[in-house]
Formats: sequence, C-alpha cells, structure tokens
Amino acid sequence: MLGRLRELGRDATAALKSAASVVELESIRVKYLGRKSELNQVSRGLKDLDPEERRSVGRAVNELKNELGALLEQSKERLESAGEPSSGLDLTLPGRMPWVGKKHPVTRTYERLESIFGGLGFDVALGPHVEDDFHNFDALNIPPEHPARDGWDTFYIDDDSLLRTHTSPVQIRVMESRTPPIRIIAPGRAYRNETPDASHGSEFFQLEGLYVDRGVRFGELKGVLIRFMRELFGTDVGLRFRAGFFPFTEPSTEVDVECQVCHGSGCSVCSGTGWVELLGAGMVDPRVFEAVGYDPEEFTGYAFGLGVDRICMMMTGTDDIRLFLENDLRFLRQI
Amino acid sequence: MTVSLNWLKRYVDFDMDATELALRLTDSLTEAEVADAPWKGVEGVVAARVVTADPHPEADKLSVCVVDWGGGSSTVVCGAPNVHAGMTSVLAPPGSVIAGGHRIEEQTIRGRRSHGMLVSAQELGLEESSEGIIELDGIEPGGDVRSLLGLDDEIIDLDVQPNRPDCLGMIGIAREVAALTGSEFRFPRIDLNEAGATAAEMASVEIEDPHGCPRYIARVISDVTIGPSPAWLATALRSVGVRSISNIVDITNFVMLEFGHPIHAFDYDRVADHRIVVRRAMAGEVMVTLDDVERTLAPEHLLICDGSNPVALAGVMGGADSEVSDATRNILLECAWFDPLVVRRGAWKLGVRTEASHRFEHGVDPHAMEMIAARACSLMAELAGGTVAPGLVDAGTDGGATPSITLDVRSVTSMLGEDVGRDETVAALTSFGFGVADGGDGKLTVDVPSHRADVTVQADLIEEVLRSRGYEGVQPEVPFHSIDAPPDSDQATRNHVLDAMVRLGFYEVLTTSFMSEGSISQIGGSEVWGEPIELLNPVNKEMPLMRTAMMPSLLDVVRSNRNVGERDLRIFELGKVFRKDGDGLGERWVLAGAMTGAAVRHSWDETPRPVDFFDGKGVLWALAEALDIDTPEEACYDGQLLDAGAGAGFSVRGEGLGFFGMLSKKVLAAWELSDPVFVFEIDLEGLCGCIPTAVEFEELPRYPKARRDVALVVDERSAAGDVLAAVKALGEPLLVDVQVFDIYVGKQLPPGKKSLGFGLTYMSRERTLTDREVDDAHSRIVSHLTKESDAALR
Repeated sequence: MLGRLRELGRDATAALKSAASVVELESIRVKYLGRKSELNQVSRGLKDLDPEERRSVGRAVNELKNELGALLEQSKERLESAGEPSSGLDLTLPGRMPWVGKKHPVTRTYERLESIFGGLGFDVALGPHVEDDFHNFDALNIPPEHPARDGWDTFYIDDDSLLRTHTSPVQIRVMESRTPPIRIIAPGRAYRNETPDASHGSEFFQLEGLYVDRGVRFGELKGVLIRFMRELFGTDVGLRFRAGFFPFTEPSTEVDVECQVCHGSGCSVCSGTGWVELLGAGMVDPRVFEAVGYDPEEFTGYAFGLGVDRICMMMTGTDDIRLFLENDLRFLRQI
Repeated sequence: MTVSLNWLKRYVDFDMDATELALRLTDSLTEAEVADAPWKGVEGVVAARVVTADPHPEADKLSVCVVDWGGGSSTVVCGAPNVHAGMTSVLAPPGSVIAGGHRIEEQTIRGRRSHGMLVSAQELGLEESSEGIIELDGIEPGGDVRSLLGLDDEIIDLDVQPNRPDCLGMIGIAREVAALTGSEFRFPRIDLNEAGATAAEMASVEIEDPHGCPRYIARVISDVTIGPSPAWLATALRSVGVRSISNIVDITNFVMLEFGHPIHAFDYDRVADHRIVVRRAMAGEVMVTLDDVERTLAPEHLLICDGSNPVALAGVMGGADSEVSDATRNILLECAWFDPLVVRRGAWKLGVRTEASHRFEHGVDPHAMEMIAARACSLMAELAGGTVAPGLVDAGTDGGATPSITLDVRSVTSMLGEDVGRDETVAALTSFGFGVADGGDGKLTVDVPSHRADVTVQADLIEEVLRSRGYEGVQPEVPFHSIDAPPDSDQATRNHVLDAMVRLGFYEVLTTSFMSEGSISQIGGSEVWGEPIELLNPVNKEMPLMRTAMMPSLLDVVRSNRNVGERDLRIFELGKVFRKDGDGLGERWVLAGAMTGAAVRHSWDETPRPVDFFDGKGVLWALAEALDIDTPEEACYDGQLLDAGAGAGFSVRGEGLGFFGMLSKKVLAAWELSDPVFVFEIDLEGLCGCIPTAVEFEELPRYPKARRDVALVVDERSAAGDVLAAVKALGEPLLVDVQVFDIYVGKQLPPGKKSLGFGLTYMSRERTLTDREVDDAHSRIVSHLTKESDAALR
C-alpha cells in the first residue's frame, strides 16, 4: 500500500510540474486529490485497516496530501504569474486607432512665436482685417500717393477702406486706446495685391511687435530680437543687423538670419549670400507718435514685423508658400 | 538701380571689389547685390585692325579677312555686313572666351580656315542684341579693349528705397561710398566756354502751373554735330543696360543717371517761337510722344508746350515732333522740377512708367538744377562740338533754403548708447555732407544738404549716426520692466477651441479669405449669408468677394483632397468672415468644419461606414463638453446648404449660433462630390461667450446612484428630444441624468410606432436613496409621460 502511495505521489508530482495551464492543473487536482481520486479512496478505506497499518498508511496519506497540495499551489502561482495565452491573438495586427488631428503649421509657428515673445513680456493684441486708410497708411507716415506706398500693393474696397497690407495698423489702434507703457505683439493675416508665386502670397501671415515707454533705446530692440532669434533658431545662430527703410520707423533696420539650409555657406535659398532676410524693425518714427497723439519728446519705442509663413518655410524647408493655403492633407500631415 | 563700379570711380576712389562694396552698402544704406554681368568671363579678346576683307569664294555673305592683332596677323572668316578693310574691331583668337563661357577654337568655314572670330557687342555680352562687329576708334592693334569696352567692369544692383531719390543717380551713391569708406568725393568737371547770344535772348519760359512745375531752367547749345558717342560714354551707358543712340541723347541719359535728375533735349529749331510754356493739358488734347504713340490727354497731365503745340509730357516723355534727330543743329535743354504727385498721376493715367517719371515721382533736388544743366551743356560742347549760349533762362523758384535741424546730442546717446558722443555724431554727420555747427546747451545745429530732403527731424539725424557707426556697433540690451496690460481673453478662448478641435481628431486648415460670386450663390447667396464686401481690384478676377461663409473654401479643400485620393477628411478652420453691416464693413470669427469619408479609421476587422449625421453631431456635442458648455441644442434649419432631413441649427441657451448637418445633394453636385459630407459653421464669438469663465467646485457626491430604465412606444415621427425635454421639464429633484439607450422599430410593434428606451439615473446628495424612493420618483415620471402624451409603456 505504501508502495502504491509512493507511485501515486511520483505521478502526481510529475503531472503538476508539467501542467501547462490552470485548466490542466484543475483536472490534475481532480484526478489525484479529488473526491473520487485513488488517494481519497485510500483515505476513506483507512478505517478498515488494522490499527498498526492504519497509523502508518494514514500518516503517509496525510503527508502526500499536504505535499501535493503545496505543489498544486506552487504550480497555480507559476501558471498565473506567467499569464495565460487566452485565444492565440496575433499581436502584430495593427490596433484600432482614433482619428488624430493637427494644427496648421502656420498656427504652430504662431504659437511658438507668441510663447517666445510672451516670455519677453509681450501681450497679444488683434485688429480688423478690413482697415481704413488712416490706420493702414496715413498714421504710419505713408502719405497718399507717396512712392513709399508702391511697396504695398493694396486691395481696395472703397475710397477709404482696404484690406490691411500689414499688421502694423494694430500698432496704431493699440496706441490710440492705451497709454504707454505698451508692449504688444499683433499676429494675423495680411493682404497684398500680388499674383501668388512660390515666395509671395496675396494673403500671408505676419507678426508685429511694439514697445513704447520713456527712454526706449535701439540697443533694447536689438537685445529683444537677438533673444527671440536665438530662442527660435538656437544660441549659435548668426544674425546681422543692417540699414533698412520703413516710413514708420526711424532709424530702421533689416535683420538677416544665417541661412538655415546651408548654414551660411551660400545656397539657392539665400541666393548664395548665406543670409536670409527675416524681419524689419526700427525705432517708432516721431510722426507716428504724433498721429496717435503721443508726445514724441516724452516717449520713444520700437516696432518690428516678420513673416510667419516665411519663418515656417525656413524652419521646415517648405519651398512654396502657396502650399500653406492649399491644405493638401498630405502636406499638413507631413509638416 | 544698376550701379557700374567703373562709372562710380569717376567720382570716388575706393579700394574694394564689388562683393565688399555690396556688403558695405547693404550694412549701411540698402540691400546691394553683385549682379552677374553678361560680359563676366570674357577673356583673351584684343583690338585688331582689318587689313584686307575679301569676299569668301564659296559663300555670298561671308568675307575672308586678314587681321593685324599687334603681335602678328591671322586669317578669319567673318559674316558681319559692316566688316571692311581699315576698320579696327575686336578679335577673339583661338583659346579666348566670349559671353556665355563660349571658348573660341580654330575652325574651317566653307573650306577656309578661320583663326578666331571678329565679334559683335552682343557676342561680348555688352548688348542684348547688336548688328555687325564692333567698330573701335583710337586704339592700336593689340591694345587693351577690356577697360575701353568695360569688360573689366563690375555691376551692383542697389535696392534704392523711396526715401533716398538721391541714390537714383551715381553721384548720390558715390557720396555714400565716400562717406562709408572715408574717401573723397570728386565732382565732375564742368567747362562751358559760353559764347554768342545769351540764352535769354534765344529762348523764353513761361510757367502757367507753378504747382505742377515750380522751377524750369532752359539752356541753349548751338551748332552741335549729331554723331556717335565716344567709346567711354557708350560703354558707361551700356554697362547699366542703356543703349547708346547718339551723342546728344546719350548725354541726357548719362546726366540723368549721374545726378538722378532727368533732363530733356529739344531740337531748338522745332520749338515754335523758341518759347516754352508749362501748362495743364486740356481734356481730349492729343499729342504723339517719342515712342510714336498718340496719347489723348486730360487735365491731370502737365505739358511742356512751344509757341503753339505740346512738345513733351512733363516729366514722363518727350514729344515726337521736337525730338533730336540727325538733322538737329541747335539744342534747347530742359532741366525742370516737376511736382512728384502731378508726374505720378499723369504717368499712372496713361499707364506708362519711364526712368524719368520714376525719378520725378520720388523727388528731385531743385537746388542742383543749375549745376546739372551746366554739366549737360559742358558735355554737349565737348562731345558734340556745340557752343553754349551764355546764361540760362530760369523760371520759378528753388523752394527756398534747405532746413536746419537742432539735434540734442543727449538724444543720440540715449537712443544709441552711452559710448556714442558728440565727436562721433559730428564726424558722422559731416561725412554724409551735413553742415554741423554748435547750437549751445549740448545741442548741434545741423544744415541738411539739398539732396537729402528725406532728413527733416531729429530721428532722421540719429539714423545717419547709426548708419555711420554700423548697426552691428550698437550694444544689445535686454532690460525687463513688467507692464500691466489687459490680457486678450478672446485670443485665449479661441486657442482653447482650436485645441479642442484638434483633440477631436480634426486637422486645422487655413483657406483663402476671398470667394467667387458663383460659389456663394450655390449655397444661398447674400440672402442667407449677408451682403459680401467686394474688392475694387481683386488679384483673381474670379474671386472678387471677401468670404461671407467658410463653406465654399472648405468644400474646395474637400474636393482638392478628394482629387488626390484623400477621401477621409476631418478638417476645420477658425477664421474670419466678412459682410456689409448696414453702412459699415463687419468681420466676425467663425468656426467651420467638414467631415467626410469613413466614420472610423480603417481597420482589419471592420469595414468602415461613411460619416453620418450623428457622427458629426457627436463631434459638436463633444466640443461643447470639452469647452464646458453644458446645454447645446439643435434648432430649426431652413437653408439650402444642408439636406432637408439631416440638417439642424446649433444653439446654446436658445441663442442660434450656426448650423450642422449633411450637405444637400445639390451642393454635393455643385462641388462634384459623391461621398456624404457633414459640415458645420458656428459663430465663434457667440460660442466663446457661452464658455463659462469660471467653474465652481461642487462637492463630489457621497451617495450611490440608482438607475431605472423605461421603454416607451411612441409615434414613429415623435422626437426623442421632445421626450427628454418633457422629462427634464418635470424638474424631478432626484433625477440626475437621462440617456436614450435604445431605439426599436419592428414586427413586435404596431405599424407607425417605435420604441424608445430611456435610462434614468437617480441620486440624492443627502442620503442613500431607498428602492422605494427611487421607484416612486421613477413612476411619477413614467406616469406623467404616459398621461400627458400618446406614449405607452412597452
């Protein structure tokens, strides 16, 4: 009898150790430890044995039950922690994806610029797209029929109304409605009556900046623009300030950034010069202050403007500005 | 402005090549670029005398020539009609290079060996087109033709800004170069040798319109011989792209390019009564300009007339009748100051723009006129053998003294930095030709030279100091003072909407603000969308209107993407629409979008169904949820854009904000679309106004919720929304939520009926509800619904 028990113990141990699933484990338990198992039958037949044999077999049965019980728990743990392959999933199949949206690259560029200038203390101000002659031109020291106006091919609506040719009229509107100090940026769409080509759109995206206070210096304009460009392009980017002309700033400057395509060695994007014109800026012309009723003796300030779509082109290597308003999904996904 | 370095060197010495000079000018004046001169790369060409020129025995139009090139002689075959023995021309021997990088090799032409070729101005890149080979004077065979023909010249393109008309002339640029390089500016030589009757005796000038022409100087040069210009003059003009015509015409062009001030030469004998009258044109008056176009004039036009007829369109173009010709003997020279606006309007009205009108529009220097006239007279005497009549006829005024500006040196320092002091300021201004005197009390009195009319206020002078120092020479600073400013909450809210749409899986697009009459009329026209604002001068004649709706341009995007195979689209735009608003022009922010193609992304276990109304409505309701707007509602819609059965208005708290739904078949057809398209357009300002500005914390519920369902059989056409509204209207305090969870139509119901399943959730904030309390509340609602409407319990 004891030999039979040893045999049972061997078989059950082997079965438990090799069990590959919890289900299999359960059938092993039923076979060796269940109510109808041989071990249980031996256990129930103990009362028919003589006392001597009953004691030794009883002890052996109990030991085996405990041993197998412990082993069963162990096997159960082993199988559960390994996880059970449920129904043979092909894990390489793609998942069910939700739709993913994206902001327009120009919008993302605006966000980047607004965040940089926001960190430099500039607040956002906006103005209408349909402007009047005064805000778009006269107040910015661009008198009627002056050749300076030739630089702005204008869409007219009637004698006095036009589509703003730049975001600069927002400067005027903000100065009219507030008193210095003022420090704003004005993002938005602007319009020029030009036939669109790869580098010019009749609708495009600008960002204007204005700071007016007592004793503002040219060096501050340089400081802020350098800070801005380094944050945008990296601290080692080459920058160049040179003479410029805008009717609404005096002195005026044009700022070039090292070509991001060839890094200064000269390529087709920068026409071989290594530089790309990035923004125009200058100290607010006293005649502009006069137009909004500020005393030019008391206040000075600077203003700057830049093409946001152009910056986006430069940063992404996009070679045709028209792509931005075409909204080909293949383009929007890529950029 | 095309700038020849050789020409510039007539007035200033500088030790820079074109690249260095362009950089210096770019830094301190305006953008300058080295241009690729067409003659760049020409190499090894020499002056050669044609010794013999005999007809080619095998070809009618060719000659076989022996040429002496100094170091020997060669035989060349030449096809030019003007080749003749004794002339001096330019030989391109084997191994030399002509324009376009073309290397010359020996070759046989119709059986005769040609050792190089005699070249034309075109073949050297000197002219765009030319006939015959170059004829040279005053040079020996083998002599250096490089400087004589300007082949050693370098060209810079200067982007002259409207405030610097002085730089539309070489002298203005030379003054800048002198100041920026610290070298000396040389004025051109003037040598008149006046003789004979005075100008005043020979001609008269009357200005009838002193506004249009404040000053007019006339001079007379007699006994000129019209002929070709000397090589230096032809070369100078050619270097900046002006064709040489004859000595007198070339001199007027040369002096214009030298001073930036256009002048005009009349044939003195064809000016009736030798009398000049400056007046406005009469309406309908006609004259033929020297380009042989008959022009009908209007009172906008200022005319130069002789004793009887117009002889020139002032500041724009001369007349054909008084033009200098080969027969001209005597010259009446005009140097005038015309009002910029008068010239601009006159030229604009005729649709012409000339080198002259361009310069007058930008403004000329009335104080330099005597000198400019004298310079032209001097050249005419020298190059055409004329005699200059003493004196000049000078009508009008030079506009009075040039201004003086008081400059406070402290303001220079405070704008440019501590290290820019008085000495630097004085030196800078002096170098640019300003007269500087001490003004006392730390101030300077600065006399502005007459050619710098752009300088009128102190800030202009500060810019001069900055230009002299170089923009790089100012120390950057980043001071920080914080400024209290009202934050633009509208912008923040719009960004919030933008973010929400992107989170809902939509691509943002930016489309044109313009639209066509045709596209808006497809979706209802101005009756629905309001009166559009029309551009007077659209760039695209098809799209003269400002958009009153986003739909047309969004549907264009849907179509163009469909055409490249992008069928599954979820796009939106956040932008402005424009419309006439009473007498004014209004613009509003709008959120619009479109969804088409598959409702869910393609996957391996599901064939995606096309987008339907409820996919779209779900997006809008989810948007409202994302924006904390808790009560969006559908409202009536009666436009033509949407399908009558699948379109609705969008409103919040009873305020209509827009519409949403499936495009009508008619609109789909108009945009050549076949897949169903869900669209929406919502007034953004209204929507943003519905977003709560502050959200208040409410204690989280501590007691469990209980749910009860009910199925109601209602008329097939009844709206679930009406039942929901009726439930909410009851105001049951324990009811916290109602959802539609099932709709059933089928055999188990009587015809014309449907079953709506509602799930109602009950909860109290004070205690755990007993089953009894929930059942009571639920049966109150159910019995109300069955009593007050035709709904029956299923």
